[in-house]
Amino acid sequence: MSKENEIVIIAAYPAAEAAKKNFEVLVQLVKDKKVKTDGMILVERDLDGNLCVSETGDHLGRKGMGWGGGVGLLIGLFAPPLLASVVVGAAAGAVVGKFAKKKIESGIEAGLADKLKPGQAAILAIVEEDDQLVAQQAMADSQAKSVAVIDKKGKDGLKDALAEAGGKFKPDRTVLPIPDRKFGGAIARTMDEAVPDWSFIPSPQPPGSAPNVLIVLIDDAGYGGPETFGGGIRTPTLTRVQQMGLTYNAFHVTAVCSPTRAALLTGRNHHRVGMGGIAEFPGPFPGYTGTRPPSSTPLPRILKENGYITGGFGKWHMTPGREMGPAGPFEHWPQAWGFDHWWGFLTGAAGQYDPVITQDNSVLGVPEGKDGKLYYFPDDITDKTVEWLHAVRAHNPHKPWFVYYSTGATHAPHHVAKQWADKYKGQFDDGWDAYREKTLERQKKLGIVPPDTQLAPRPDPYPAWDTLSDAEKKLYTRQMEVFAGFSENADWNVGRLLDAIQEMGELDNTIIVYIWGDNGASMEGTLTGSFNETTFFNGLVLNAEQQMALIEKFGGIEELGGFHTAPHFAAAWAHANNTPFQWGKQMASHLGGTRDPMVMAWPNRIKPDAQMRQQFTHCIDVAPTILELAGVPEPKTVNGIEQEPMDGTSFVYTLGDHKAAEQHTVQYFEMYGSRAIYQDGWWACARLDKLPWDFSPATLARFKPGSGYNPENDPWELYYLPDDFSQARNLAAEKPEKLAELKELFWKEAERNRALPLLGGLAAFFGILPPMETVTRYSFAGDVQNVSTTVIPRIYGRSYAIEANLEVPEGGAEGVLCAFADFIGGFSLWVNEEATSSTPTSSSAWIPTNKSRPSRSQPAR
Amino acid sequence: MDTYKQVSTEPIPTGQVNVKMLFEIDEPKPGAGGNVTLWANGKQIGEGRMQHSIAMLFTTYAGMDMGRDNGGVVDLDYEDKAPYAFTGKLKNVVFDLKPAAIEAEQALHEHAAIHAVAAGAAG
Repeated sequence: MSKENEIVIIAAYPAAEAAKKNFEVLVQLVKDKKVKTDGMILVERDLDGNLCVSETGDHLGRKGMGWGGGVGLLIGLFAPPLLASVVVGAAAGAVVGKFAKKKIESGIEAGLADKLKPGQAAILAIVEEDDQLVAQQAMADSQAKSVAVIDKKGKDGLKDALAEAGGKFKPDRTVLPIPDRKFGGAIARTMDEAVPDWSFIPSPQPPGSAPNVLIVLIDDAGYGGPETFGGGIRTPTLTRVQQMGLTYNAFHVTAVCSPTRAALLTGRNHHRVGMGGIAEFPGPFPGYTGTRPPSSTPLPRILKENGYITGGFGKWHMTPGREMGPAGPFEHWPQAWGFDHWWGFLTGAAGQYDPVITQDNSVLGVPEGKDGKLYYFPDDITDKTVEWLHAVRAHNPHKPWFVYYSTGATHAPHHVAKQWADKYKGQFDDGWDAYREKTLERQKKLGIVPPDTQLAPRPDPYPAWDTLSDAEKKLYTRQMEVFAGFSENADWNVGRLLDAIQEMGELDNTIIVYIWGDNGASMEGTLTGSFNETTFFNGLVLNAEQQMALIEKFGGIEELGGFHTAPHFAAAWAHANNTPFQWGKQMASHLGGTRDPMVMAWPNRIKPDAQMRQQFTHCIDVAPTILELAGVPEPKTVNGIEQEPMDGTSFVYTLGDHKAAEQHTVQYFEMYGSRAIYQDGWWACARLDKLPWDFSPATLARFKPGSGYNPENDPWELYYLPDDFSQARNLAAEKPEKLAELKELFWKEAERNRALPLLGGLAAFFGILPPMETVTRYSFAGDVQNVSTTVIPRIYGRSYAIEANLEVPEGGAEGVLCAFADFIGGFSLWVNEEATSSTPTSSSAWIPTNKSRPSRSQPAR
Repeated sequence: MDTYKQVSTEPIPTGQVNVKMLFEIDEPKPGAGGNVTLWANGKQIGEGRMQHSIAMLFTTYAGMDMGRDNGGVVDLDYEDKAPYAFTGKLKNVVFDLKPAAIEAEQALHEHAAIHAVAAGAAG
């Protein structure tokens, strides 16, 4: 082992006979002194499955050819237990013969060992580099070869080279990307002499029987919505997956969109990946940057680097607002998260009739409906996913796929065709209080909740249904009908996707994780909801009577959900959709915002079981679970960057055993100052003392530094979930020691996960502002379209001019010069011919018209 | 829930044309009203009063287009012609923002930052 320029060759053979023949040729070459070797062995897996060293070339005699040490090392490195009794060095040659025909117990270089099937064999040889060509020519029948240079002296050099060469057969998946396979043949001047190698051409291969993976994520939906979990909304597809697999009734999310998505796809807590708030608006602390650090490589990238093809469809919401356009950077677009293909919208919400679609790293624009029909995003997301799956299979019949199917539904605006809403006509006439009671009864019957579950109290701000006026009842009832139709349509479209996968014959080998909601149902519709959600964005409160009057202009209440509306529902409906819990979206303090339905199936591996999985699970657990099931390790480094380990706990342990002891035993929650800590069934929480939809500066001023706000003084609640599924009995007063202990644990976990300082994402409210934009003149070329709403010139509250430079041909012209958004809220500068009659001097008259939709004279909020 | 529309009193000329909508706010405060004037090649061709302006945001998702109005249109009067692409040639559109006094600029900046976070919370 002292020569310069030695190499290790591993050559694998599909049949042991061929290997033996080649080995004999090699031996002859050594005898003829045409190849100088430091050792070579033939490893074979016999028909009983045992791995043996079947030839060592001993019969050549070792002296003078430096056999012994090399062979001993080769065998030893492959089988350390055998080597234990061998003194490597001068004496090694004498004992090496002992190993021939002996069974190798363990320790054989893993890649090769796994690769060899019974009846197959491999030659391992250490030869001088100058002899590589001749040696490889002798191994002509090998189907897979690997070569590595021994660049360090001694045993370590050989070990490293063996690992490198063997890595071709079983790559080290903890270092991504997996390096390209090296050429294992030999180059010569002519094809006559050169030794080819097909085996270095393939890109990363997935582990043996890696399944397809489908994650379905519904937006802004709650625990008590779908009928599968006892709610009033028909969800046959959620039930279908449930019946194919398992139901998890204690699955948790972060309480807000971007954070849940980031946690789900990275397997890390949301603050650890910068997503303590939503992606568009960063805060000046590490937990609130809105951008995932490269030390947290997400699931799709890991799978892609391990040989999967990955596709994302639907809502993204993990790109900073300023980066949502052609100027990039694209580091926070879906492709940089590891999606080979992306199709959907980047924003937190979209009109379902006219979303701005992005594909891969491009903005496609607003799609047009086909055949005179209105375009509808929820249908298209399924069409696009299925088309892509078909195209993938057309080009590769084996490759496992990963699909992230993330609907825009059921986020506001609640856009759905009338016939879907009409399916629910009259079904919610008895209101949200009755809905909660009926849902709880069904949940008990279905075994989703324990029989002694109480309804958590209705928070004070929500009115009791029977105190409402007729106009309120009429409006609110229709809001829920629309929401239910919108939700059912989303589930129906998931069903179309499953049908297509089934038709492809791949449903049985697909892991399906179907999550009904990234946070609880949204209470951001305020107490009244609205037919136009931009009203409450601008602080405009419209009571039911006002809304009923205004909506007449857009076709009346029957048209709620249609193209000319942008509905959100009353917060009390959201609360009812979160039955049996308190609160909802944004409220990380309570289960209404943090617990959602989840069902999971994989027909090939998971036995369907109606027994409820009640173990604590969280969206950060999904990625580790999928990696474990796919046989892919969590990477230690990616692109040379050391990875922070995932926070999640794989729940593979629950798949076959509904009684298995819970393994995810501690979890913190924090969003916008509302917070909770879970430990072994206990749940302690504190709610920032404000309504979830109230972000008025006056309200936030109460929490400003210097205001005297001290989070230690927030009132905490304490629940014991095994006895109190819905958080209806606050034990804080009874168990002060337990509470104190959990509060301390919260701070510890918050610090460890970079959630501190508390309210770090709301810094802007406290006068800690991002740098001020100084550009005052923005020029847009005449062909620019679909400029993201996040980068529109800041015209609010100031004087400004919008100018257009035109060429108007003789005979005139008409049309839009500049238009932002739509009739729900927007402005436009256009010329038309309407006033022709008023300008009789010309047959073509063009009237510049400016229009905008003001709300009211007071600053919003 | 109002629509404000300003129509010019005379047609715009043919040939090379610069049209302009100028909004002069009463005071640099979110939601404040102001005067609107319309111009063509430097000549005023319309004026009016916009009682309020939008305090904070028009939309959370729709985009801005030059020379056409993609998706839902701003004014339903031209919805039947959507996207109502301009039939002449549009060279460019320029937004010219008038700087306010530094205190007012800072207040607007703070207002925008706060409301961005608040609207974002609804993500």
